[in-house]
Amino acid sequence: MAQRTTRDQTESNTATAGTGVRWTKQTKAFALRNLRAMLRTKATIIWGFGFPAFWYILTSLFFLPDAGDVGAATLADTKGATAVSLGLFGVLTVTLVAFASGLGEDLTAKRYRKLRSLPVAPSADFAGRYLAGVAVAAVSYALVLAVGWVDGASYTLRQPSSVLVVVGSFLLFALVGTSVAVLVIWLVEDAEIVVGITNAILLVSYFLTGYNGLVPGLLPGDSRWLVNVAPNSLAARLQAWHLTDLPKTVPAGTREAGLSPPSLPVSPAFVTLLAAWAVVLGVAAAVLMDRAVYSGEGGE
Amino acid sequence: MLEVVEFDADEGEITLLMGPNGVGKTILLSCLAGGLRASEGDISVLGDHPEATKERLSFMLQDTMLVDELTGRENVAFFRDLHPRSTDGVESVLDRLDFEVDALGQEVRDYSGGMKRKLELAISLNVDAPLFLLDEPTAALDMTTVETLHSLLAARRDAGETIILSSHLPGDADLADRIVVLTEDGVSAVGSPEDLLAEVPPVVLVEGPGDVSESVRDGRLFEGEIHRRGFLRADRDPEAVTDNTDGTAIQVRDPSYTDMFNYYVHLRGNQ
Repeated sequence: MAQRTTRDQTESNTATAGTGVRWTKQTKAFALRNLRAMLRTKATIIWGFGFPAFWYILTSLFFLPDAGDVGAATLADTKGATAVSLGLFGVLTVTLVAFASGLGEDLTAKRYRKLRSLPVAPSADFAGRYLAGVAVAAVSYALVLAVGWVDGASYTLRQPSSVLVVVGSFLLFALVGTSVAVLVIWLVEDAEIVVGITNAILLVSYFLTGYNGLVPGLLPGDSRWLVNVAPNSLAARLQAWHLTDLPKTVPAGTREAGLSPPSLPVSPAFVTLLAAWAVVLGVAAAVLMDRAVYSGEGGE
Repeated sequence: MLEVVEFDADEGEITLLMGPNGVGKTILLSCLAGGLRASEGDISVLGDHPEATKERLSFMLQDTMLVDELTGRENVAFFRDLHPRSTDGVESVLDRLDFEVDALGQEVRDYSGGMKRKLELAISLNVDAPLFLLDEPTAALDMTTVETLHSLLAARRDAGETIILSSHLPGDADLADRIVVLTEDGVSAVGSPEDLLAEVPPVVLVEGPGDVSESVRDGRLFEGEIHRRGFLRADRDPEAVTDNTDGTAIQVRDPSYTDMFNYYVHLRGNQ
């Protein structure tokens, strides 16, 4: 009996290990497929890579103050914060719009009739698409920061933990984008309509939060707290603080740069808040991938 | 859409689902594969619910599997990683189907319809499974490739694999051990190709303006490129039908698989 229990345990462990290997393989398959498809789609190149960088250049040329008004150092930091804001705009473009477009096309083309016939883990599908989105979004983000750097933007890691905060907030924000994409897809499966809706979400979220939280003064005074709560502006302001050398007198220095009030979200509680957004939306998206797309009949 | 469908497909046989466009052959195969769910009733595949048999079957779904932005090789790799029983035989299947393996490096958007079909087939057959569900595998293929595919599928059948395929091409009847004819009302006939063909009445071929509607079943003639065709009524003498003087050429012949399709879909299916 003891021998049998041991053998059962061994088989169970082997099966678990096999499931893990299979999940990893399937995740890789979805990641590579979607990464390649996105990189070979003109819309991704134009809107995911070109447009955020172009918008940064326009902003720098027409909307940022002169060095004579705010000082060269503050202007460099402001440019850095602007690049971060528009970099995250690019991240949302990729993870929300491009992700939703890709998933919507798969549903519209009835590809899930085939995918559901395979022993695919829905979470592997979601994770693979997420990783592809992260990879493309990272290029978009880095491109805007690079354009900013050429334009004179200054980036500085404020403290050793800033690396973790910047990378972590990037990944969390990408998860928010992909999760919202799944929610939109769940509501509207048609690929063409999905692109319109996700673009609207992208632009409305950017403008309603004062350019991703960069200019909270655009909001009515009693609504400015929103920029430290909405995930897009929260991520941008977190990163702006950790990636630039904005004057350390908070909020006075950041007021000079137009970033406050409210004060920048510099405490760990705000990282937790962004993580909460990502976890709640991510779990909802993973459940929907399972119930609506795989266990249900998504695309029909 | 199919309302009622009931048939058995035996293991180690090739079962052909025949029916007109839009009758629901693809939907039925998708339900068998677990890609769709039947609104009512039960489906048993290999003795289990379709959800429990995903690892033991491979499903080819025409025109929906491939991503145009990916190369043929990348599409192959994607599906190979998703099915735990995938093998490394794609290139040998493609070679048999006369697909230039070098084209695997091209994006699928540059493929012809036939190349896409061959790639979908190779991906689907590249699985070590006891059951294959193939949705119109011969559509868009040239006749030589159709023959090759028939031979390839027959070899798999001989090796003990079960194959269910759909088609509206009468030529695919040659391949099947059993034919299930589907109409909008459900299954209109089930049997071996020989048995089904034997039940089809002689065919009246009409070339010219003559009216022979009283000599054919249901008074119905099917239009063809040269002839109109109908099915001889049981109470009519073939010689009397062909004997006419108004310049219309009338012949009575044994039925072909095309006639069999018309008979079971359009005549028997309506009864």
